[in-house]
Amino acid sequence: MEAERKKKKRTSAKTLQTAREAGYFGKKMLQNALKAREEGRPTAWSMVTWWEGELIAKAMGVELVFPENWGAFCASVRAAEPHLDRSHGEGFPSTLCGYARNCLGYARNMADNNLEVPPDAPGGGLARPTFLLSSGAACDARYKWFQALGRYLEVPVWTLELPHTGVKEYFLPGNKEHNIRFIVSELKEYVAFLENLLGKKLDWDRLSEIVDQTFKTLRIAYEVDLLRKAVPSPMVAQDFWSIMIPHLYLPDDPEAYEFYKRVYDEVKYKVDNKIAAIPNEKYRMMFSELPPWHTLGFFDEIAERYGIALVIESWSYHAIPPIPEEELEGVTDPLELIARLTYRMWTGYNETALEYGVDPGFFMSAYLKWAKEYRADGLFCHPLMSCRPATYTLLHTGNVLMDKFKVPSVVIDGDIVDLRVFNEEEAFSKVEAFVETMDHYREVRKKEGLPW
Amino acid sequence: MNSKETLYSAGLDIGSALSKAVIMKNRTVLSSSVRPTEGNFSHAANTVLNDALEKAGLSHSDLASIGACGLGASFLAYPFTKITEISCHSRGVNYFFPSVRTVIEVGNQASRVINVTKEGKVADCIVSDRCAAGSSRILQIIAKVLKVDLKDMGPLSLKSTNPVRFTTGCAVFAETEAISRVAEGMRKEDIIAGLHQALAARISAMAQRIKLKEECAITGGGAKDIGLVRAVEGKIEKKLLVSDDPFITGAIGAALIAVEK
Repeated sequence: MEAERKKKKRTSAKTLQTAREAGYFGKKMLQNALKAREEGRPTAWSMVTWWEGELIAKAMGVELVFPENWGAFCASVRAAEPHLDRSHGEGFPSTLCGYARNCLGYARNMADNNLEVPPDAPGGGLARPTFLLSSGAACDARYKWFQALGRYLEVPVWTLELPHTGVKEYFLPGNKEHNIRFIVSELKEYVAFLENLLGKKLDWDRLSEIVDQTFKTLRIAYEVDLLRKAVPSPMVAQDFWSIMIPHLYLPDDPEAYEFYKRVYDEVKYKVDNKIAAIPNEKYRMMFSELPPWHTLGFFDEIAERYGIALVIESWSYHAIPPIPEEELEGVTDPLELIARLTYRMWTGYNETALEYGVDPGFFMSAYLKWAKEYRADGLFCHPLMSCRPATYTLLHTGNVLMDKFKVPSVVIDGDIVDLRVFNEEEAFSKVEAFVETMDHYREVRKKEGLPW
Repeated sequence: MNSKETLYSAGLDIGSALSKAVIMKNRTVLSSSVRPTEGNFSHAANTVLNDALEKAGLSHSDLASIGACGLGASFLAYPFTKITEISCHSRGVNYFFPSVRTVIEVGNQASRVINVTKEGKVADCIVSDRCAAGSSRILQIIAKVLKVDLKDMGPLSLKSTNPVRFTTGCAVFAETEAISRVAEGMRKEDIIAGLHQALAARISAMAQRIKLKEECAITGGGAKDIGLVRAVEGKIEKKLLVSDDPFITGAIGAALIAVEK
């Protein structure tokens, strides 16, 4: 019976009490949007824009939901398949982003239900939106995804552009300030769009409050990351994938900030008292990029079987190291503060990228920086069948980690949403063999004088 | 525990096509048994183990340890140590060829290229995932199409003068393509050689990613096919060592690791 119970368990066991409570924020977003819709207030479906679009929408009183977050939720409760099938029936290929397919299938169901939430929608569903907020950041599929969605939902789509500067170009004189000005001009146009659509003016003081709160929340989220360098690791990826919801989607919410203070206290207590998240921590691994949301229990299993702690993970969902104070000196325009924050997200590791000669700086260099800081024994690469941005740098990252630090990587194919492409037994088999590989490279690092 | 019990170990490799067992005394193979799995993992595992024990003149109670790998290992009814095939093949090849640092394993479910340490542990590994066209399964599929005994595929391949060029990387389409070539009157030798070239190309592409070491060996069912071995050698431009019985490499590794554990 025990074996059967284990076999059926798919969700992960969080090691932090606060992580167990973080699901509240996901529910809160969905419920707030449904309530807003009921009360005739504006709602929107937003991509993760790394805060540049969300904060302004919130200052305009728009309740946001995030199809990417909801896609992960649908996958985690194994409710995505009907949406994927519906999307397939609409002609979208299986190689398209799993989040997009989940969302497009759902939108088709909504369209069939007079654009209201279908009764069986997981988690209560995504409320009918007033508009769609799209972003050019990170991913090419996102342009067309929301464009198609707009046609199903019969609402306007606004796309925010974000410059993706090459590493060498980033260091060219004037380049950064030029890009900041571009982002600010984009945001001004976006504000005009919202004011026109919603028929009211932006409350600039409210926006400043929201920006201020966001900086505070992201700061403390970053400080939690710093605590995680401790050996043994006080928390693991299974915790992070829950606690990332408040800082990624709701950093402006004072409740998220208070939550993060509690996360910090809990993690700090574990560090101070050397309490390990994985009692038998033997191997410290990094994880890249997005996890198989449908089978997170896998990571508990490899922790239990082999003592593997995923000590740091998923670069693109972490709070970025804070902007240097001198850069923010005298900057009071909330749009410029937002522009600097989001631009920092995509360029904040460029110093590391330059040092190791890698490009793009994002998606790669955080892992190069972290390998040493977090004393990583290996990198768990999870190439996603349906996500090129989270995949195309993985092998190169693995090669550079091996070349520079003698840190090996293991590749386990899968998908964020589509569980049909994840072979759990095969994954266990690879990880078991990889344990020997990590042992081997520990010896190699020792011989080469590397400090871990 | 009597003195006999401390000496003997069994290793099993219960694959999707074949089940293999060895009985070892310290590091010496006393006996082995290989038989088709035929879809019944539990029965096949019991049969090969009992057969190997009988050949060695031993009984189950004489065994101090049992190690098992392969798709069907989970179906064993008695206590054993479950070990991944990757580790078992690494250790098994190390047993035959201690100087080898790269192992190419061509099994029925997958192909693997493994760099190993001098102790036979896994240093690096690439696996062809979920693809029959990248494993020896494709050899069985085409042998059936051509009505050729699997053991004759290698010698026939070496007689080819004009290997067919397979245009697909998929086993399902390769089967269709082979049928078309037969209909066009192409020689079996050339079709088989073309298939070996296609499989060798996929293995070679994996090998490029892992950086082959000086001494390399090939194992698994694919190593029994001399045509495939020559084709892989041609692609990677290296001589491949082949043990006398590549089928039992994984089982030997399983027995050795079980003793250590």
